[in-house]
Amino acid sequence: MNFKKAMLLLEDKSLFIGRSFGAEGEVLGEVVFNTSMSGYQEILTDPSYCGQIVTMTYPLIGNYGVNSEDVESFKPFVKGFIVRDYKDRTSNWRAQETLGSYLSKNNIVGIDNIDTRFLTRKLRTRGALNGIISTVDLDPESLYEKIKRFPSMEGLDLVKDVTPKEKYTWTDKDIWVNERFKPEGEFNVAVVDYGVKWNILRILTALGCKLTIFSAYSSAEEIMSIKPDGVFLSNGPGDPAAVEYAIKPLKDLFGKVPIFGICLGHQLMGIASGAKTFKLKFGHHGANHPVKRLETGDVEITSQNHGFAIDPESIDKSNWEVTHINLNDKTVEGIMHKKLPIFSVQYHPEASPGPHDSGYLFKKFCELMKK
Amino acid sequence: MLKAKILNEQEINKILHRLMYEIYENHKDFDKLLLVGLWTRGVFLSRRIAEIFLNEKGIRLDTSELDVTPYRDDLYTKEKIALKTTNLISTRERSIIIVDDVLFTGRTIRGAIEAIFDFGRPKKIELLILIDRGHRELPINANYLGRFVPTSSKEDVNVRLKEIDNVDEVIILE
Repeated sequence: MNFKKAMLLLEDKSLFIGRSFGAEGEVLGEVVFNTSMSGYQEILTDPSYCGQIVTMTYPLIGNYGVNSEDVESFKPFVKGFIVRDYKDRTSNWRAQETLGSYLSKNNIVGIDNIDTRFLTRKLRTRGALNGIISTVDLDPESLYEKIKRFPSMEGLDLVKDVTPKEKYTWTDKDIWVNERFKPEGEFNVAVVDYGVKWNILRILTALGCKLTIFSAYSSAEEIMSIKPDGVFLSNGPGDPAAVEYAIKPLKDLFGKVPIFGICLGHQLMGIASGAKTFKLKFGHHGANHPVKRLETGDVEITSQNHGFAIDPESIDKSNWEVTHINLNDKTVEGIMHKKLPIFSVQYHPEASPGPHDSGYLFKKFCELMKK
Repeated sequence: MLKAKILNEQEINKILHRLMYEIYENHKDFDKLLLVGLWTRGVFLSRRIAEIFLNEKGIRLDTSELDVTPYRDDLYTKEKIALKTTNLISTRERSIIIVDDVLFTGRTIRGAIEAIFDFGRPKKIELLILIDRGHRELPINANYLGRFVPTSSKEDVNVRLKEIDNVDEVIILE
């Protein structure tokens, strides 16, 4: 195996020299860390990571290869991938190709042999930083010039890059989800796709929902035209405050149907309810975030992927209540309307990758639709 | 086993002040000066010296961090190239002071010099060391020396700093 030299330079002038694996080239983006031990294929294909460079805190990556079933979208959205120790030899019966060849095919620049602990500590103390990975330009000075010109994630609308152009129906029924999700009835559900992960669609289908997927630009009338039993707001990338066009349709939908939002859907719902969002110092990315469900006091271990959060001070307390909080930094992880059948969570109950503690939320959505 | 405690907090602080004045005496163009702290404790020493410089003279020095592991001469595999540094993206035409805690064989410093040359041709490289314990295997010497401590090769010199060890002291272990 011949490895080429690659460089990673951060906004604060931290330089890492490692080996290139995956595609060759140069990428700029916000560097975030993910604390999942496995599930790199789901992470790569998660549209919420659009425009970001992801580093895995778990050191051994690539050892189970890549297959065609573990994808969360039609293509990977991560721009660059940083790992400690990349393994080019796979050892898994499901593996169809190596991670390196998958990254090359999809034009994602990978860099390994990086001290990811040092990098993660840096991101934790300094907050999110922009970075550049390059295999072509190995001059730190010129790389630094490029970073200086790159915009921050704040105020960046990335939904427009991942949302579908037209509405479509979800038909993928073959993939096995989890035996815990059995049909709860027959529902007609409208999904607003800000960058939806396929496992959400798989779980909703397993629960008996017929899914029509709408673009983020759809108006409330378009969505109501299919007479849905419920509306689902998906996850997605970027700053929620920049997705202004998606707010009005949500306001119009309040009170008409049960609504369930996840991740960006949750943040947009918050904005539609009058709350504000802010950028976290370093985002929550990983599959081991403890969340407290205030209603019962139970703690769930959840999969999360967000760089922004709803400001608890700005929530309209007369109509909305906070239902979940993150136990690491006490940020808001779930809200619910006090009278209307509307609720949302910041984290990912569909896991992929991650624990299945929060699967009950999908059943709760079905219960609301039955009424 | 602890054999002796060589320096305590005040003594370390006093030495760093003296070293700072030596640097101040020897240099004129402080914009060109760059302190390169070697991981791990050299980084904290270089930050302290920069802080003393700022407090005493009101001059802000550039500091950077360098991990010389990939430049060691005793690595089994050369394929594992991995380097991390902060604020060292160009050393061209700069006066560089390498900062480290203990000077022993001199091999770490040789690696650091090699690494610095990979970032451009510096005007000058100097060396600042807190403890020189002898037993050099290379023709390397400190320009700014905290203290010379004769040791036997069986002994270990440990520099402990508040930033990571919660205490400021230098001890000899046997």
